Amino acid sequence: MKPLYELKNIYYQYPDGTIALDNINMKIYEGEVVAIIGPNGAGKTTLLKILDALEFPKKGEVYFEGKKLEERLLNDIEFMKYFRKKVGFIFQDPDTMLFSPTVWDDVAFAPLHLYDKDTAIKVTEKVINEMNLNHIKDKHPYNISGGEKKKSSIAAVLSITPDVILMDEPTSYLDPKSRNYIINLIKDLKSKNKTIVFVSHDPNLITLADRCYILNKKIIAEGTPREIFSNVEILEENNLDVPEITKLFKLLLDDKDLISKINIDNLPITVDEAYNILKDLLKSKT
Amino acid sequence: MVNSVKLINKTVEHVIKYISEAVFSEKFARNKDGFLQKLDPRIKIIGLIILVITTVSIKHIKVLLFLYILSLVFCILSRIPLLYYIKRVWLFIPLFTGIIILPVIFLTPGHPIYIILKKPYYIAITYEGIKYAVLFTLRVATAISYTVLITLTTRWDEIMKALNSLGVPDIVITIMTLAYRYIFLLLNNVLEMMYSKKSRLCRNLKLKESWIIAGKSMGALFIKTQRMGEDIYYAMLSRGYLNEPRIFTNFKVKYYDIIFLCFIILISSISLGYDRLIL
Ligand SMILES: Nc1ncnc2c1ncn2[C@@H]1O[C@H](COP(=O)(O)OP(=O)(O)O)[C@@H](O)[C@H]1O
Ligand SMILES: [Mg+2]
Repeated sequence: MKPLYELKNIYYQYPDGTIALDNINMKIYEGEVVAIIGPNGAGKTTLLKILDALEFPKKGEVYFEGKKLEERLLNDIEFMKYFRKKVGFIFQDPDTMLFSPTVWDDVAFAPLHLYDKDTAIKVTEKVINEMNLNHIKDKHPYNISGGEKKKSSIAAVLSITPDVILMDEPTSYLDPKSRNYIINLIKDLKSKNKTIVFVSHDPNLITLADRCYILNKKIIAEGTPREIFSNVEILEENNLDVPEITKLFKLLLDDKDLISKINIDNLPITVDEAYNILKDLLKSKT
Repeated sequence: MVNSVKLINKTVEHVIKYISEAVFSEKFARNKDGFLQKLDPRIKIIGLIILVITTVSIKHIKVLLFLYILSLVFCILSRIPLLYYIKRVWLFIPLFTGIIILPVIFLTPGHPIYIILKKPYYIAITYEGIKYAVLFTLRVATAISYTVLITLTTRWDEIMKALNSLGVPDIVITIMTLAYRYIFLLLNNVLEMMYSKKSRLCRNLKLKESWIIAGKSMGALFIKTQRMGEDIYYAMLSRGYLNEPRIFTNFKVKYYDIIFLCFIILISSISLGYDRLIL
């Protein structure tokens, strides 16, 4: 299978000299959910900006559907429209995405620029209804709650039904209810076979990924969430967290009296997995 | 001292909130039934700018009063609360005119009304000085009134689109749009900073202390706002923005617009003629 994105030896430096990315090689396939994990300042946001062709690497190449992404290609209106419809970027801070006088206008911004006016109105109304934003659609984005802002900024991207969705720390600063909303949204998008690349520290989110990269300017590790979470040293070195449930089982396994009684191949990384292990364990007792 | 800090904070907070809510939510611009809201934005901008130019050329208070009252009539017809409008205009007047006008009141030669000093310099408030001050203030107020009417009754995107179709280049439009959003961000960041500082500090700061902290925060604030501004531009690009404003409504000049423009030209000619030839 040909990759959707292929990154070759990417190097990125900001004008002030900060090196954000160094020698990144990465492939992302269609329909995949990829998590990017890394400490603050690791270059995660910069990487997403490169994937969205907002920034271009100083060295190295990015290929999207086999085409090299460069400024010249994005200046071609045909390609620009194709690419912008195909790839949506949900920024970390919804305030940067909400700049219109009403929520409705913000949701309509992308459709208005990428479709004809009638279609734009239609798709905007559709996504507003689907995401239950009717009660806030006429409000100024300044006057809505944090969770509503996040939802509006998501609607502003989903209005063009992109096939590839980039999300920068989608659950940061959100309350538990909104966090669950994001988790379900990712599950839903995954079931629709969308390609998702997200940045997150949130173990509950990371377990949704098919594949993870640990990034700290360079790629430190790559693997499935399970492989990544069992690599405790690397996680600790990079200030990253393991799901609480995994920690619990690690403690149990480290206990010499118990180790013979629990017999598992893999540490659980989700509550569901832990539930199954415990269920089997308790059943075998009786 | 402590109270003065509190007062400044309160005032700044109030002003910022006011601007964020009133200006950026474009509440009145979206009321499509208003007299000015119904106009084609291009015609409206041209018409009101004609009135601004007329206003600054007028030399008699009577004519200016007439033009000022006309702006109030426009305001009422556009369903903007009169008091809100008047406040909005006069809020800025002291800043603009105070500096220019104060010396004029004392320095214009003429009949003294109140003598302040005889020696070593003769300083007096004169009748001519006052008259000039009133004329000048009223002229500025009227000109600002018409300009404020444009921004109150037209959405920002529409103003940009109108200016664009009247020949203002794309790059200027993009810069103005970004500047508009940048100001909003900056205001919000200031507000956020004030709130977060309030919750962190239990005791009240002395004025000097608070200035030191403000100075330090200022740097951080500008870097943060600058990066956010950059991200806003990226967020626009990411959603297909191409340095060209796009809006849902198509501009179309109707009879209503032509009648409005004729009316404005008539009013301007009469005002100017009366001002120059008769008075
Ligand atoms: N606009 C910018 N100008 C200069 N340096 C920047 C800019 N944006 C980010 N950086 C720096 O680049 C590095 C990587 O930033 P970023 O990609 O935002 O990291 P992350 O998202 O992983 O926290 C950081 O050291 C950050 O301070
Ligand atoms: Mg980041």
